[in-house]
Amino acid sequence: MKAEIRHTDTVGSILWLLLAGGIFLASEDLPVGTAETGPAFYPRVIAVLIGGFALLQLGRSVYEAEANAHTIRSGQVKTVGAVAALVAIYVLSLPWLGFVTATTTFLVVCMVYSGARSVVRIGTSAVGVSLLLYYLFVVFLRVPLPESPFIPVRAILPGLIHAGHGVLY
Amino acid sequence: MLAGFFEGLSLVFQPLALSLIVLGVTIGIVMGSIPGMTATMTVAVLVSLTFGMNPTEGMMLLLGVYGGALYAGSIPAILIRTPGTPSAAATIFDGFPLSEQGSAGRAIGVATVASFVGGVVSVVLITFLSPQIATVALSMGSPEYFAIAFFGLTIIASISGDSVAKGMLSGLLGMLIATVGLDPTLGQPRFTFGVPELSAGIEFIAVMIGLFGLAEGLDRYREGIGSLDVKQDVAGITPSLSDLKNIRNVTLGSSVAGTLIGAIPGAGGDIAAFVTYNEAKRWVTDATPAFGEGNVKGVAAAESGNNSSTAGALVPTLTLGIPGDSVTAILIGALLVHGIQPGPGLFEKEPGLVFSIFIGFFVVYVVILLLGLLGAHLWVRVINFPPKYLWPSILVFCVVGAFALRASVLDMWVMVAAGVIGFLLRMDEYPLAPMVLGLILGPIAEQNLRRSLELSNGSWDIIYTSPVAVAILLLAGVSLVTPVVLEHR
Repeated sequence: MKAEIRHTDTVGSILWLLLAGGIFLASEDLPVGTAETGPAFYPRVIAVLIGGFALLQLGRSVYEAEANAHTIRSGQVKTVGAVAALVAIYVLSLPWLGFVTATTTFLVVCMVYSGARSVVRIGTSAVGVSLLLYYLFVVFLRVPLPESPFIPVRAILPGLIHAGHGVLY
Repeated sequence: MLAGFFEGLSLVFQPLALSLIVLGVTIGIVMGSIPGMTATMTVAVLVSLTFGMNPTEGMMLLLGVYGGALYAGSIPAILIRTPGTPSAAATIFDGFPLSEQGSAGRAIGVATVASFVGGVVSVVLITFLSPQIATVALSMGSPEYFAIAFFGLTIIASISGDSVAKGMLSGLLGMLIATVGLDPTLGQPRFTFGVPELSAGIEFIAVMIGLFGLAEGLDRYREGIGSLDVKQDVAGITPSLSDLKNIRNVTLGSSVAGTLIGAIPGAGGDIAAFVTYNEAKRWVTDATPAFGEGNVKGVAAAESGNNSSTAGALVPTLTLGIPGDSVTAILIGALLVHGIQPGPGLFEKEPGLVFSIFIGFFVVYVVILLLGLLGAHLWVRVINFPPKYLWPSILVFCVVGAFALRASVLDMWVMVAAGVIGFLLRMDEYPLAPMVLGLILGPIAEQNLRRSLELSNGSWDIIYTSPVAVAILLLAGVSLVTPVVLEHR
């Protein structure tokens, strides 16, 4: 099923104008500071410029009877929405499941969603990528990655991991 | 300068630094060979690997990825008429006809040599040019710096694609995002909304990973991530002497032109490649076969043009702190993570690092020549790598990269938000490169404007009584008005 979204520039311009107004509101509480260049000065300059260019775009879209429209298929919306949701769930799960478990789960689900069907390839890729990144960041580069308070991955993995000091609890 | 050069040599010619260059080039070639994997995206998702390294090692890896990916974009352009990176779009014109004639190996060989010459010539040029520019820039004060940052911001108009208004709005959004955190002069929290973590500001790298990694991924899924199937094998990759003689002048000329184009902030490899290709077409009047029908000079002009722009982009990046293109913007971010501020002061404070970047980039192109000629059969196979396994892994890299910045969950959400916003903006044809310029130049412009006004007790005289600042501001005016005039012609 296809849907056409019309007047995207007009709608976009209105959103930009709202943002410009929002900046003014949000900067109301900021102290003025010395002379005329307090913390609110610069954001307000940006807000005025955003408002100006938004009006320019709005005027142009109205004057040119805006031909700007986008045709989108419901399948595309579903796919993009699903991938974005998967990433969001992955981010949410990281502090709870820890890097290795959350990443392996995310990779399996995302690969299946992307069309992969070979159990062996999915399994080896997901586990391989997770462990490779874990060792690379935590042990080799000493960059901390999330560790689960419930799943003791660190204890399960071979001794090499104990060389790393960057595990985040 | 000489001491810095030798220090740079000693930093690059270490086993680890050289290994990182080879690793970076290999990763870059692999990723660049896959259509849709741009150099910017590859550098953005891999930047997190450098956080645990020292600045020189990190730069060697990223420069290797940058050069490798930009070179390898030519391989799918020649074989399947799909540029691996936008910079390789002009390579299609003569590369693909050569491939259709059964000379894919010859085209890849010429592209490899031209990329090498382009890269090497531009590195040599910038090694001599950059210190002079930095010396001039060092004598500047806050008003002049504000003017330079303002000039950089006006470049937004010239890289805005079809709509100047959309480009400016994208750039202003970047500037707005950069205002979150502590006010640079008074230290007051600004737009933190009671979230303590926001006091440190929004991590620029997290935004970049979102804009160029996640947004790209979402766009790929929107288009459908089907697999490619390239069965063509390549032969005769090493260019013949007659081909080398044939492309000599075009390659050298395009290399110099590409370096100069790359040095213009915002003008990336794609612009350089199109300009050098068109100039070659204009200058070579007796081309046989004609340009567009499989002339190796066309491949050489495009490839030397886009690869020479990479080093050219380092000129404003290192001398003024203004990114030459999206990738150098990420390099600035990577240096900032290590507490190093690119700009004219860098040549005084870290001469070894600056020259290690130049020397390292030279070595990158030597490695590209070797790996390009020796491994072409392998890189051709990489095009077939199934995206259904690749893209989920890249999404993981995006998340890990954002987290690795400072072990903050907030940065992961910033990355996700930037990715979704970037995807929506791309859908409505907003260019994302101006947002990057806004993110980097916004704070520089604010700090220097406010410092100038403080010095003059709030009088704007300090800006327009400086001849240098006025000259730069006039240039800024020209760069702002020209695209608007051209748009309405």
